[in-house]
Amino acid sequence: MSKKNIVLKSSNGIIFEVEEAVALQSETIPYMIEDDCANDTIPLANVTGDILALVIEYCKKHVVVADGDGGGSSSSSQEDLKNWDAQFMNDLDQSKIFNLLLAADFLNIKTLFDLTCQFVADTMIKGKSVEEVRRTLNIEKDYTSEEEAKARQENEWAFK
Amino acid sequence: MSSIEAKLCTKDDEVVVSRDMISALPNDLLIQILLLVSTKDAVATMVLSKRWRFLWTVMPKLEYKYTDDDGCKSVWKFLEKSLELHKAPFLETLCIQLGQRFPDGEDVRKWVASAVDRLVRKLDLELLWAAELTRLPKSLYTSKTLVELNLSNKILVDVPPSAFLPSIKILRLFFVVYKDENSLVRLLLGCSVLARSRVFLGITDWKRDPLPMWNIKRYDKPHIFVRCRAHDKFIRCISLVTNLCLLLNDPKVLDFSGNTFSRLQRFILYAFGHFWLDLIPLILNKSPKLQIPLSLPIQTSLIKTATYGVDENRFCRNSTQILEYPSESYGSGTHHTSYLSRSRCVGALLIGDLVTMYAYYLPIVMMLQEDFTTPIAKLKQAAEAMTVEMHTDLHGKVLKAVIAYKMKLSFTPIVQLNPVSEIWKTAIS
Repeated sequence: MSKKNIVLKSSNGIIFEVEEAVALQSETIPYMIEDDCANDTIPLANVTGDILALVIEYCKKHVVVADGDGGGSSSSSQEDLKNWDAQFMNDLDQSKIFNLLLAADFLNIKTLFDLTCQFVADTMIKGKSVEEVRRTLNIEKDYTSEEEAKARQENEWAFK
Repeated sequence: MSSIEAKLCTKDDEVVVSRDMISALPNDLLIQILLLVSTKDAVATMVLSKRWRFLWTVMPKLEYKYTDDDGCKSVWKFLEKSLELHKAPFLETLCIQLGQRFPDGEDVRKWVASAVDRLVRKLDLELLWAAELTRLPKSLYTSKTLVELNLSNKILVDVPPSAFLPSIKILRLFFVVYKDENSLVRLLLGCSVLARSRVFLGITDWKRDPLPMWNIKRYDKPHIFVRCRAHDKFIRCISLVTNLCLLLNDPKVLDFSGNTFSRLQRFILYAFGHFWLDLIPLILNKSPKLQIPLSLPIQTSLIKTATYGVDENRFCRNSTQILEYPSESYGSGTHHTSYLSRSRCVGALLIGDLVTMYAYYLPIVMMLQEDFTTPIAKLKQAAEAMTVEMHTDLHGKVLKAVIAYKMKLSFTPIVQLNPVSEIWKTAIS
């Protein structure tokens, strides 16, 4: 019996054909299949091709392990997977990371969503000073210096 | 003017490098991210930009953990202010852990009351300070939304008769102080979870709380878990307990006479010396539902257990099956015989690992051969018999001897330990 494939189309028209098991890690896609059964291609209006490629890369990696030894993946492969996840996130620039976060949210892929949030929290916010966070995340300070000073003074408790 | 130039300059650089992507995310995603950093880091994001000004105030979880480098004043101020400014109508989780030298219980009452008003679902409160006890607001004990409640240390549990926690699934009370015996009983009876779940009670007269087996933080099924000091006012709740663990230097500090253990299913005793002999029959005879009558590692520690190659987890899980004896208390065998004669179990003796044991100690481990859950009735059918199994190394040196015996569940001593001693002597000579 041949494996069923699913065709996904990104917002900029790029087509991806993936195995059903890969696509079904998204909890959103099954609904789209049901709603759209006449048409074989599932359009993903919120996800661009480069991001969808990343999502699929992640899902492919994770579906293999889940299938691997009849569900009970060994601890070493869990460890491998963790390392793979870390490397996967490390290789991305910020623009990709945040688009991936939005895609994981839209497609409802919980593990990818958690992974991305955790990466952002750990590498961009945790234990950093306000200035460091601003610099890391390119956040423009739209307070005037006086406003910021006032906010800090009023909330002195929050900054020790 | 030069500062404006500088500002424009950096701004241009930033545009070239990359854009501010994170601020464009919807609020709920930003909050998901903020939930993964400490509350302190999350609150500090308020001055990042106007976009971030009030984001933290709608986070559903606030967590305050005392660390040594925080001055107590700053933590207190932080708690006070952040709870005051926090705006979320629902506060899902509030965790407060405060160290020593903390000033005032009145504030803690206020925070807890505010969390209850905001329909808190999980409340963790650990107060470690040395001074007076903190009494919590009455409204806590009638919260309709509370699903998990963890209280520990310097908290005075004073429960009103109206206590009712219809949503609660997990209740953990670690070394809190009960106003009276009724307080704990009322609280337990007010928990909807009581009837259908396990109620663990651990009692110790140790200063510290040494047993990893008591750590059931990961146990996520509905349960109630209470740890008490031996002098606490818990006795009246004892009939509600399903799992009882005693870790006692001196079992005489407890007086269980007059109590019944109508729900007790598992019982673990870590006792020292010989006094436990009086305690055991008292508990056994009043515990109609006890599945595994007893386990008692005596005068032993987890370290010594490790010498048997029993890994800690397994030991924890199966500790109701192990009885361990150092030679001093074993003596002529009278204590052992005395214990066995009163117990209702079928067991095996494992004479310790000769390689690693001090010859002086000669511990004996008693293990139930049967499956943990096998009903006593089935065990009863087993014929009375004794088998000996010797484990030797390549040179014929005895590593250990396992003596399995089966005994009737009566008060007549059936097992004579003399043969065991003789085998032992032969083995080491």
